[in-house]
Amino acid sequence: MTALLQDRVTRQADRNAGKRAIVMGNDSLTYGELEEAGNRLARVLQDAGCEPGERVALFLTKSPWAVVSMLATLKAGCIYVPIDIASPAARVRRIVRSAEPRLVLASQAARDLLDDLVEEGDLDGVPVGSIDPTPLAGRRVHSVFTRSDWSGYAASPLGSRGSSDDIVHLLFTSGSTGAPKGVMITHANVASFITWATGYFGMTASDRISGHPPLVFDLSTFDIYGTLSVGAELHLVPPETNLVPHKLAELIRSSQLTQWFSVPSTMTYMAKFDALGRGDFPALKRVLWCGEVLPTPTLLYWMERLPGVQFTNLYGPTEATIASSYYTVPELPRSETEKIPIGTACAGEELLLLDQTLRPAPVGEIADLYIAGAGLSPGYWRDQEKTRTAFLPDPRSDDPAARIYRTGDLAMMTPDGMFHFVGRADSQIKSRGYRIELGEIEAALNSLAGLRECAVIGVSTGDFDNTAICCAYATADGTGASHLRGELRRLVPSYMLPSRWKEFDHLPKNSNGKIDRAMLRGLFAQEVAG
Amino acid sequence: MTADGALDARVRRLFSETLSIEVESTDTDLIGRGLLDSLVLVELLVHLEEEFQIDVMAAELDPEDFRTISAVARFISRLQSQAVKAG
Repeated sequence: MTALLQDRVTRQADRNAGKRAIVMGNDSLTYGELEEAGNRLARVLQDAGCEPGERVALFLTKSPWAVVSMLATLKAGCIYVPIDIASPAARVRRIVRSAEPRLVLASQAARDLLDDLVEEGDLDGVPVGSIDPTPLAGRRVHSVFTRSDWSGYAASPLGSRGSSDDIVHLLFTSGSTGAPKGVMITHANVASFITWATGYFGMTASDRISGHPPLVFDLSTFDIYGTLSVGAELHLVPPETNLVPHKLAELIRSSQLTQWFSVPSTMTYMAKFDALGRGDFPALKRVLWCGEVLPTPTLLYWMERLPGVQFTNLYGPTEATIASSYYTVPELPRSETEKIPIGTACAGEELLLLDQTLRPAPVGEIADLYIAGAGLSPGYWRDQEKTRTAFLPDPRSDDPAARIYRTGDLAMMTPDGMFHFVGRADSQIKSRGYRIELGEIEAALNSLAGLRECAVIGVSTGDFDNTAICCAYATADGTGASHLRGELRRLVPSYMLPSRWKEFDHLPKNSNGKIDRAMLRGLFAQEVAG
Repeated sequence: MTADGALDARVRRLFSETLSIEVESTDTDLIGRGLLDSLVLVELLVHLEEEFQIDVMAAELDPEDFRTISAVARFISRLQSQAVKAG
């Protein structure tokens, strides 16, 4: 396969221009249309002054035109930065300031958010282009072009430029000190996973593949480039369908999807609402999940209803690109308490369990999980210190370029060679598939006037939502939880807001004078269980 | 204020105070803006059932009933009047 992701799509368009590439609701694009629109928009970007290596921020939700925007950015040699437009302006501002985009591509839904950013001067000198046929006209934001203007540009190929080490996108994830950090992902990183996955799963042009995760999740990269690499059909899940379990099931059924890839919370949601029938989805060949631990009762529900479907657990952090290990469940788990392993490394990747001196940990022992291989990101955008802390020289190699990534996950290996996820070595949690650093929430709270001290703690609910975010706090002036919550939601996305609040005169301390988090966790755990 | 307006305001307050979702207007597209996702919806249904004494059947959920604050208010009115007829 060719090195650059956009060239894979071009090749499919050359072979099969009339074949449907992307579908969402009533909107769809063929490979030919996708390629031509991408070429036109790439020229628009170049005309607007975008130089290779510069960033294009995508203020877009999932749509066929969002995929056109990604491909066009790559064709112009630029790097795209997907933005979660439901995030508060304060958080988006930090991402924009870090990424320094040369241009913004946006749809109407981002208008109010862009107004806020323009008003605060965050987008001074940064033109905004609309991917809709209509202009973006807000209080402050005014688009310099619309999709209707693209037709004035040539649809012919631009000619391949760039190398496989070029960066495809920056994916900003929660950072423990408060600032989101941008993971740099190269063409070679994505190609490595896609090559393994399309081979392992036997993906072909006759596949119809789900596009479920939002574009800010790196899992969406697999759906998009995996599908387009083999000339298959990508079915993006519209947000309104995603709301209702029965609509999700209906989409899998009526679109005759052959592959369903989502986060475990979605699979659990569908199970809780009993959205699947026995022997449902006759076209479906495989179900994949990634991003958090899938509760075994959910897996049993799905497997019992869909005999003959392949169920595969994928594991891996964004820093190692999409996923690094896999486990295909060989048979129905024997009980609801059976743990599903994260399995073994995908081709080109390596999972390592190392002790604190970076020596291999014995089989059966819980240790820090490291990843090596072709999926490893070059590091964090403009943050050498964080990069050095997380990406270490490979202790087994004389090559100074060889690196290992410290995941922060704790794991163990059983004698059969299977890796099992055990927990986190730090305070990162997963909720709804989102990776959340509790430190980011604490940093945001600590910036609020009136708050004296706080501790944010993740407590497992053992149920649907997996982890409840709990906040213990003490204020200087009697500020209430509802006020704090109101202020906090201006700073962090809604999925980071604590669901439980407890006020103290002083937070409990341990003998070292530090906040006694173990004690607080116990307090909240009782509450959550009750 | 009309009866509908009062219900709109109640739903809007529930979004703000219970779900921490602040919206510009009762016609803001909650789904298009990404403010309402599946887990928020589950939470919302629990609160709607409690506060408005309605019974929501999972299989009958229609996303369009949750498109805007006003749509949610209409949804509640509809279920309440059905309950009255049935009772």
